[in-house]
Amino acid sequence: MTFEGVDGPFWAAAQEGRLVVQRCARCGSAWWPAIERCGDCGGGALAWSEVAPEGRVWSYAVYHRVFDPRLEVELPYAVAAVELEAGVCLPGRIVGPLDGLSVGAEVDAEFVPLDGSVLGPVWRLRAEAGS
Amino acid sequence: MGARHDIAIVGIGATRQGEHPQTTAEALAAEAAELAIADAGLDKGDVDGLITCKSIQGGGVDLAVGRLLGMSPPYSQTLDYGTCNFSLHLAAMAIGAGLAETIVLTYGANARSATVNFGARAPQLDLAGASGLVHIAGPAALALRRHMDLYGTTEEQFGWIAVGQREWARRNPMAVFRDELTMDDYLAQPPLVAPLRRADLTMRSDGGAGLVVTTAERAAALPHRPVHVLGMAEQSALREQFDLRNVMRPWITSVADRLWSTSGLRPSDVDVLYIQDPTAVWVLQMLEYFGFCPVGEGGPWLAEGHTRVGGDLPLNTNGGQLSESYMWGWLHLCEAVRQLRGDAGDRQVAGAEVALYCSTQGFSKGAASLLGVAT
Repeated sequence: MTFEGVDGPFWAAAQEGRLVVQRCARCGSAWWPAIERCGDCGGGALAWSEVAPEGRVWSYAVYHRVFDPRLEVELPYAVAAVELEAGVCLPGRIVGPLDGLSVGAEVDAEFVPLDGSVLGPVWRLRAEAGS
Repeated sequence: MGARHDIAIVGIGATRQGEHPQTTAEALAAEAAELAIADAGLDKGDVDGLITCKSIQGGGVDLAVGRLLGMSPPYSQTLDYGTCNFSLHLAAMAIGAGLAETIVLTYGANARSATVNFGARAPQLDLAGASGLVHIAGPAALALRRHMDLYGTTEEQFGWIAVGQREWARRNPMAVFRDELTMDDYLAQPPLVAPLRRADLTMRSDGGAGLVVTTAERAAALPHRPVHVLGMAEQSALREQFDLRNVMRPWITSVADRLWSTSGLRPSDVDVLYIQDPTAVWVLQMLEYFGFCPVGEGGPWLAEGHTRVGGDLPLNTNGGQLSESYMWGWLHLCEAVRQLRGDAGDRQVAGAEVALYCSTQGFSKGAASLLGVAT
């Protein structure tokens, strides 16, 4: 599978179960969504690097309606804004039990079919230590 | 500030709101423009400018609307997204620059009859859409959940926005939603995109709304009490617009800072307040960012009843987009003019002399206008 567009490397890595983020090699700015030119320094030294597949829930929304018929989801479903150590914040579905879903909760990425057969990251709440 | 008392709104027009099957957004914009011109006591020939606003489907450009009005004014322009504030500011600039003297601004929408799906995914592969983060309710729910977590805001406190606006809408014959909505009714509604309920979101509706703007000098000779533009401010957030954390939109404080510092007015000077409300979350944010209550204290402050009928800061007295109609904020400005003229009927706020209208273009731009009448 090949992926066109400025975020192509993100999707290509996702097919291999890897989470990557785009950063400017010159000024260090991290961008999401992907960008074709660093807006901060004007540099063209944008590169993708692999990061740990983990993050924290910055906030979340729980959908009780399917708005787009192409979405294959069971209701209700939760979508979080997941903040990564790298500084970007990604949208992502929460899978598994939602007990404990809260702002600040730690989550780990898994890669599942997200759009047809295209794999993408979803997030599972990390079990409490000792639980 | 240069704009002070230089520009005035002299005409308003609104079509019936709700459903207009077999009608285009352009035709509704043209009808509203004609109503506004007539309200101003003018004829088409007295108007030398036309500013239109694109509809959600991309129609409504001046090239189409002007033809339906049979007008070829010297100045014409279209904004991608008006929320009426941006359109009003453009009109003030065009008049100030001498490009036109009297401009009709108009907007039409037929999203209801065209059955636009506001929750549709983008056609291309994107992570937000594929994850199900669709519809404005999603980002708004993220913002409200974050607000609740940071400040302890409760669903009931937040619910006073929708409930309070419905109280006003019940006094507005033009409002689409006029059924009683008590706090018990509100809390009994199931979640739609939790923590949001249906009542926290706008509707799909058809209709048109327009205004006529001219110089203060010319306004003095027209039939209605002129409503002067006392201040204008804008702020963009182009760099951070797509960052999910930008759902909190903290940069709106810059709109407020610019508005208050350039106008010389303060929040306590505002008699009636209008906040564009595709979701009630935007109201909560702007109440705080414009300084009507401290940031984070919007919940308890709303529960005190300031914005409801009988409160000391009447808010969205037309019912807003939650109850009146989804006109991208244009009807808020029409209602502000009605209140300042003293023409708001059962919902007239006694002694209304200064109004503020705050709006945003989603996550990328904010704008505000202060309006007032000479006393």
